[in-house]
Amino acid sequence: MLKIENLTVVYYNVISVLHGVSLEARDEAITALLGGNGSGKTTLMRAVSGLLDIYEGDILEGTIELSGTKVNHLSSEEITKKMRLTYLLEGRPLFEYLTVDENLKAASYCRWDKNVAQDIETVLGYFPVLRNRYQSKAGYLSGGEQQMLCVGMALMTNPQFLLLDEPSLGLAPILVKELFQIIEKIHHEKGISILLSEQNARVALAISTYGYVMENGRVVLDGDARDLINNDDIRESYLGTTAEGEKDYKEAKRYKRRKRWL
Amino acid sequence: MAFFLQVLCMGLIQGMVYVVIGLSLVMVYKSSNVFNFSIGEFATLGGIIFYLACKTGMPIPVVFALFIIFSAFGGFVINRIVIQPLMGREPLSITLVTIGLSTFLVGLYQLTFGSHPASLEFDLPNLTFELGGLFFSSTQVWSGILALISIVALLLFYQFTRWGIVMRATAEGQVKAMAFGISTRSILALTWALASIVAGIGGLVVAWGGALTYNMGIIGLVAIPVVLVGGLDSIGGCIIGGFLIGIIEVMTSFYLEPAIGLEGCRSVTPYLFLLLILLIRPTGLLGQVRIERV
Repeated sequence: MLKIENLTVVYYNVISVLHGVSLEARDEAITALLGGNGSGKTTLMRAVSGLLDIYEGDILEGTIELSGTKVNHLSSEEITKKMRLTYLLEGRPLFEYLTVDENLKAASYCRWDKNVAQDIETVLGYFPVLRNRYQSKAGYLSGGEQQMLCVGMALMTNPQFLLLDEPSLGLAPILVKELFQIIEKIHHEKGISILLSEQNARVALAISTYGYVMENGRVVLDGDARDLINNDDIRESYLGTTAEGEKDYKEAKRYKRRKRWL
Repeated sequence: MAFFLQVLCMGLIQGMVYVVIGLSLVMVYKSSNVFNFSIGEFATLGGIIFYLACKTGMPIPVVFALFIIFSAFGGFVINRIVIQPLMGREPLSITLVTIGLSTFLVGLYQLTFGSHPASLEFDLPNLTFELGGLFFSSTQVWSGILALISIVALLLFYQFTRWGIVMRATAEGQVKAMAFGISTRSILALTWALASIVAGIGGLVVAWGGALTYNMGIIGLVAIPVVLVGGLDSIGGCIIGGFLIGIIEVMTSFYLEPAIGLEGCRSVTPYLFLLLILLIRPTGLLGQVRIERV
């Protein structure tokens, strides 16, 4: 279980980004993390995966616990190796000049066991498109293939816990649907717990069990995914519909968003 | 014709040495965007280590093993003390530090090794090659073989081993690599250790053909046109560039210098050639053209 309590993060010692965020992502569940741009989703994931240092960020307060162990000051390497948590960076973090094969092998660098070849087969089973492009450079794959390769690479680190940062970014709706189906399948078959950050609330909530909404570095709303998808505020801000049906764009502009949460 | 072939082959052998030294530069540049200006001193270090190892009087394979271990160790230590504290800073500041490092190392070699030239002498089977009008001394043949072996070994390492793949991956993005649990710190340490061995082999071959002096690091200057001609981030380009520069240099000294009567022309032509190439292709012959999806 990933448990974050009262997390406060600043960049360059002055820019405050997270103001006391608390959330829990249960084992063997998909937890959705919704929020607009600049709401702090990525910062939260960086903090969990030990990558804050590179961005000159610091945890001022609060604790991050993974399966009961405090991981505040572990390096990214230790978190991947020992805690078996992998953070899939936003925006297709693959190695463009390496082939698909080499990308998968590079991602499995953190482990020494003999199952790498077998796991590559598993990944190719989830994403059959990659098999056809196996020896081509990753930079020449299409956007959908690249994102699938990235999820495949994350699997190659053999994680128990996976942080996915906006995997739907820049993909056609039909590809998003396909990708999320595969993510759900992976979750069920491998028992990997997933924290999924998304702007596309509909698809994210469809596969998750619990959801959090972040705004301006705070968690403003949380609840079961099924309740959230019916929540008026969520519907209005993320799904573009209201209880009365479609809302006019002009109207939405004029009244801005009514804030019901604190 | 035989003379031409002779000169051409000498150029190729000279080129191989440049390829080896150039590869060391390219490796470091690829993985950290740092241009290592102290490359010549890394080469000298290899020469000195080999000289000292020879003096122990051990059999040649042991001497080679010692040479490789200590060169790697040298690169590792320099990385730990000089480069790693600066990690995460602008690559330019690390590049400037390598200039200072170069001056420091020259002084250090002079203090410890002395100012007198020494010659590397050890027994290897005589491979003097003579055919038709061609003649190559045993040293030349051995230099060629040694350089060729290290180039091939390095390429295979880069292409196929677990560490080679990860080193190429890290070269593309340190943050991406870290997110997949790759320790970029140790990969960079490995890169410097390997670059030190490779440069050391270059220095060894140079010292073998001439003499070992504390300031023979000047050879590192020639590596600059080599890697720039080929493209700073391209291993293939470095190989082509090395051979081109080697051939041009030797050709100049055998054909152009006698013809126009200018001694020392050979140290100028590589740079003229570099200028010409950069005018036509600013990224070098095989410099990385960014992948654009169509």
